[in-house]
Amino acid sequence: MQGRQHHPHTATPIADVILPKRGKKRGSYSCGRCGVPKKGHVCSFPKDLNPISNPNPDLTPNPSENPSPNPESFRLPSPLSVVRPQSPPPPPPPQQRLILPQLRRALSFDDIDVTDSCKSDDEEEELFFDPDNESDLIGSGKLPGCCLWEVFKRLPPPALLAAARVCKGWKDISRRVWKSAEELRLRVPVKAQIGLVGSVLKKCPGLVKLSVTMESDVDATMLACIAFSCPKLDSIEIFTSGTSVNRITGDELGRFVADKRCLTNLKMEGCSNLGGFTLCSTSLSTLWLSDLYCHSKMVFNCPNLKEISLDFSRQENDTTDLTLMVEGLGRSCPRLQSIHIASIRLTNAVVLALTAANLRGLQMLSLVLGSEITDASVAAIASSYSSLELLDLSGSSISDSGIGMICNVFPETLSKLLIAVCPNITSSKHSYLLP
Amino acid sequence: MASSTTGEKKILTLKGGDNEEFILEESLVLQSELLKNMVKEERVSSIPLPSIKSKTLVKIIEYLKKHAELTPSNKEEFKNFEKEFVNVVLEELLDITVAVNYLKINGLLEFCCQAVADRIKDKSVEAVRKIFRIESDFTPEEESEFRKETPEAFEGDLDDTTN
Repeated sequence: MQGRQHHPHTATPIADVILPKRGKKRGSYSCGRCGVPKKGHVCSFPKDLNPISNPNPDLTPNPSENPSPNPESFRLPSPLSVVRPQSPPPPPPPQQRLILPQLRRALSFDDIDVTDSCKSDDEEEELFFDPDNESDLIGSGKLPGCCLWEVFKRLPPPALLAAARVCKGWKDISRRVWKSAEELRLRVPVKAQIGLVGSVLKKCPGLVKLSVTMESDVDATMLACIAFSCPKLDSIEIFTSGTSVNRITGDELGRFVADKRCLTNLKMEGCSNLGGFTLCSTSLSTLWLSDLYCHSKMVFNCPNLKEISLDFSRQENDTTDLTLMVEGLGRSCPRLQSIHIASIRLTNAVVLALTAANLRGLQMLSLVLGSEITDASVAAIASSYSSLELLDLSGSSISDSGIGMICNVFPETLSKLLIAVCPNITSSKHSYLLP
Repeated sequence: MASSTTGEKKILTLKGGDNEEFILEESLVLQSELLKNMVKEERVSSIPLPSIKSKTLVKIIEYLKKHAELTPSNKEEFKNFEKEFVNVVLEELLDITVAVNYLKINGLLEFCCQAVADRIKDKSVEAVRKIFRIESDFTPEEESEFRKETPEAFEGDLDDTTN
């Protein structure tokens, strides 16, 4: 092991080489990053989980960058995050190649930084960078390391990628900023495609929330990339924009959801290619899918789902069997509190199926664009879900008598009633609606 | 210079890098964690700050004063002041940032860092190097590698280095 320390391409486990030395040198139990005594201390500075030294220019992250399967073994260092709404104009560079480890040897702490693997958290604690020490780093410019850290944290992702090319000192700090990121919003320009997502994601294994806006097409490669790079992901949002096409299929999405055990929030646009799908997850609590179209089966096996939003594309020839879907939803997601379905194929039969499910916790019900929904639906909703707080039947064919029913049944609880574009309602009736 | 009391207010002297002295109320400098500790623990009345240029110190004191006057009613005014405050040449902004970091004035540090980030985020790598007077320490091979992969990172207005 000792010999491997000098081999630039080889990761040297910390425990074997560094620790004994390190412990002696230091002689104190202060945090390596901020100097505060370590006992019971959670450092607000980022910890360095592992330096980048992946000699492979391909997208596959270094196995060691993919932290151990036990998520507990790697605590979030700080609430720092690279949160930038909308990356500004300069398109983020496509795939960035990572430099070889020996190129970083000029840094002052290279003797402790040759390692690639993280054996345990406690060991790492000792090795982390102390931003204040960066000030003597030649080539970091005028700002000391901790200031640069604060600055880099505030850069949009493309600028942070660019900053890494200024000099080695900057590269190192930017790497640590990536590593500490918990939340990332990324706009993927047409040209960059998956390469950008891959190269960025493998820098930030600690991501909890990811939101990507795709201007280029998106397919299962990206899902796989996300699944691989972000083991701790709690929330994912995939938005499509402009002409980008989402090619993810139902099977692929189902696999992703089943594998991501801590995922609670999934939002995806452009779901027209999903086809039939089954989503099984015990963690999922919020699910938004839009641009749904012609699904042979839609199964939500998500017992903890609280909020669902299904937005169907407005096409007459959509063949999705909504009644069947809603029946299943009622059976397998008993904790639903909020349901939103937008489809021109909503009918009274669908509403009846939903009311038959008798979801006890339901507070918000929004069934919009269903021109075939009539007062019969209102009666069913009123009898099954009398404690609703929000009811949205915009675009339906309910009439004034339906409104009357609503007023009688929900005098106390309902705080919002939305009935835009309901042609059978005469405007005069609106006045006595709700308190 | 020495500690004196006018009424209830304690007076403190800050000595800038070029030996210029600034006399101000002690309550003002309490916004700086560093100075607060010095004042509270060591009961000093004159604090030398040789690493901070007088020009920078003037700016920072100006901020401290404005910040001390901040009330819910003049929030808007203060925001405008902040905007103006960082509207200086980058060189000066960096001086301020470094000093603020040293003095540990947290709110202002965040604001300065945001300002620096805003200044450099749209600049090319070359321009940033020029601004920060950083020589690339990458090997020519690495440089060409970067260039090959991310040509756009090397585009941009190279002469836009003054602000």
